[in-house]
Amino acid sequence: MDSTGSVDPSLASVPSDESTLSIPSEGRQANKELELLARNIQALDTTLIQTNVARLSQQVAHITGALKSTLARVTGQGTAGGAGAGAAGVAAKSGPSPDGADVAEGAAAANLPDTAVATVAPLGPAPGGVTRAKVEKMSAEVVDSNPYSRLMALQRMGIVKDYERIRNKTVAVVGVGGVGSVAAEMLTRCGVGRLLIYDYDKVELANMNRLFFRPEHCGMTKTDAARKTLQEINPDVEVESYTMNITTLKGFEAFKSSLLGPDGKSRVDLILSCVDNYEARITINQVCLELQQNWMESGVSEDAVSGHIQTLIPGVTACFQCVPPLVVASGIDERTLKREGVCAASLPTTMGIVAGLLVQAALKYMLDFGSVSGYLGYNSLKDHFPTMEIKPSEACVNTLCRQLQREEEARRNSPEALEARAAAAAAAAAAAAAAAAVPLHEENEWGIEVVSQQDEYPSASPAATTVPPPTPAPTPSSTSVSDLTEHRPVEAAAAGGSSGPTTATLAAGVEFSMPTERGVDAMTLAAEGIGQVEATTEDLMQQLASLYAGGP
Amino acid sequence: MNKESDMDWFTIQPNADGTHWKGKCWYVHELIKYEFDFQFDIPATYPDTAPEIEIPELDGKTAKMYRGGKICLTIHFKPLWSKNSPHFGVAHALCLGLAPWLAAEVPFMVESGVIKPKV
Repeated sequence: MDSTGSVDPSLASVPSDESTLSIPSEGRQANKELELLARNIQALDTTLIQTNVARLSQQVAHITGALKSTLARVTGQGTAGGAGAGAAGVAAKSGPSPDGADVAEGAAAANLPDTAVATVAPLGPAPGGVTRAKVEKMSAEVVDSNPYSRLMALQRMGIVKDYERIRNKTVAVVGVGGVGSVAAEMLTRCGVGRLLIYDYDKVELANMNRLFFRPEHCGMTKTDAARKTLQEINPDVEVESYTMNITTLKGFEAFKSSLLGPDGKSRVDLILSCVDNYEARITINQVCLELQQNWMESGVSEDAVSGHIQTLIPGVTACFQCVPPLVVASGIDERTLKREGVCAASLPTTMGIVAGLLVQAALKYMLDFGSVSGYLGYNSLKDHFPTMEIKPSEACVNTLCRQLQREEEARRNSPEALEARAAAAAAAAAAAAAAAAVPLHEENEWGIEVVSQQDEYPSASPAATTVPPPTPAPTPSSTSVSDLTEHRPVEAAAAGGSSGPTTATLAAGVEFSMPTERGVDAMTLAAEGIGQVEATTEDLMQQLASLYAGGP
Repeated sequence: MNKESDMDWFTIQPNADGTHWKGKCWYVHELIKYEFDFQFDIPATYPDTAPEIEIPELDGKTAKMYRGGKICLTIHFKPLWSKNSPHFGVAHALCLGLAPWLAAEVPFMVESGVIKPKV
């Protein structure tokens, strides 16, 4: 549309040509609306032209969008390519060339894998009529129309090698709420290959204090709303959405089987847990142990001012049940927990930060750059980000976890592994020796000499004293345990009893407590327990029924 | 025993394989008996996690309730379950989870008028 505000004549003519051919009445009606708007524009006061131009272009784009979808439905092909190019030009947003955009979108909708549970209904055109074309291969070309240019630039910055590997990655995001929806959006914008999203909840106005969902999504399931938005942001990502509750027995099986590939092993590279309750986390933990799947867990406290992320590798790091919740471990009487509040608080800021930390860790893990902490906390009141590694507990309640720990231990102590470590150490020593053998500088143009400090200043402290370098990750740094969700105590380096002195003083704010004895002892069990029952299930059911039937 | 003294407050029935239970529970407040249907599934990670008891007809009537009518067990029951699993069971969930919830919420709901006796 040119600046004087008159409607582009080519646009007006395109629909009318086609309307006489094959479109049903909707096309003709749209055409009439178009002409009406054009007449309205010309009748307007010149001072209002600018605002009305913008409004008109939006309406036109909307109408042509509806036209496109009608055409696509009627003809079954993307023959609206021509009309689409003209119309999208009118909408006048600088973006990728929309030529063939509709063809690609139509084709994409038809090609989405038709899994039993995932919803793959073809989507309508984006609001505003502007769609992003699918991109076959990520290019590093620095042009305005390349959606991946800034990501591929990470390679030239020396941060990531082969960024395109992300197109081969599959990530499952369980829970598409405050943290999960933001994480899914971030992964989508990064161009991840495939995204599996799980949630059973619907979008409500109460969710509007957080990012991602908009009021127009209210009433839709979170998975549907997320899938629609994400697919529009980046059509190159394959989004599979599952609207289900994973904690029921059926849900557990469905969840587990949705993660399996044709070879019976997990087909995802990483699972991100963005759920808000203990039960779901335990479920994910169990599934990941059974599939030996690495996963990352995130959480935000109920008071919305702290959060954390964790990386869990079955057998190698603690599983989610290795460290019981604080209230259980320290034997605090739950009656002392008092809360007037009726619902958890949440802030978009904390959720966004935790989602950012989570996806950052996921990217580092998948693309192999930087270092991924076992645990990363966030205390917003003090701007404190503690990191630590949490070892698995040999007393974990989960038998599978204990078994995987033993297998990992055996693997680490196997002859091959020991040989490999010895070889690596030898290679490192050889490299160091080679480096030391070569002089640091070939020439000494200025005749610089290094003189020992002891000769010059005998009273000063000997140069041999070195300041101990700041200790990196393995030592647990201080953390405000009470702020974290589920109040997890830190088993500071002594969980397996395998490293560090047991009398080590802990950093400020870190608590250590072993779980109190659980369960009943044998005597009480024998005395009060029910023991084996001979009756069959039917008999028991009948007894139950007769209890009700027989009156007092 | 409870039935004889008219202190009983629920009836319950499982489905064929014991994964889904439903029944009726009631609470007497100011001499009026308020009865509700309740149901729950046994979660896949039972006994580590407690069953989530639902009262669908009260969904949305009180803040101490999650979507679908799941009653809020977080404070008074879940920690107790964690401490005592695995030897806690369905009976414990009802007596220590559902019963206190009814005792706390029914008077509140009656007083605030969200539920009325069917007179």
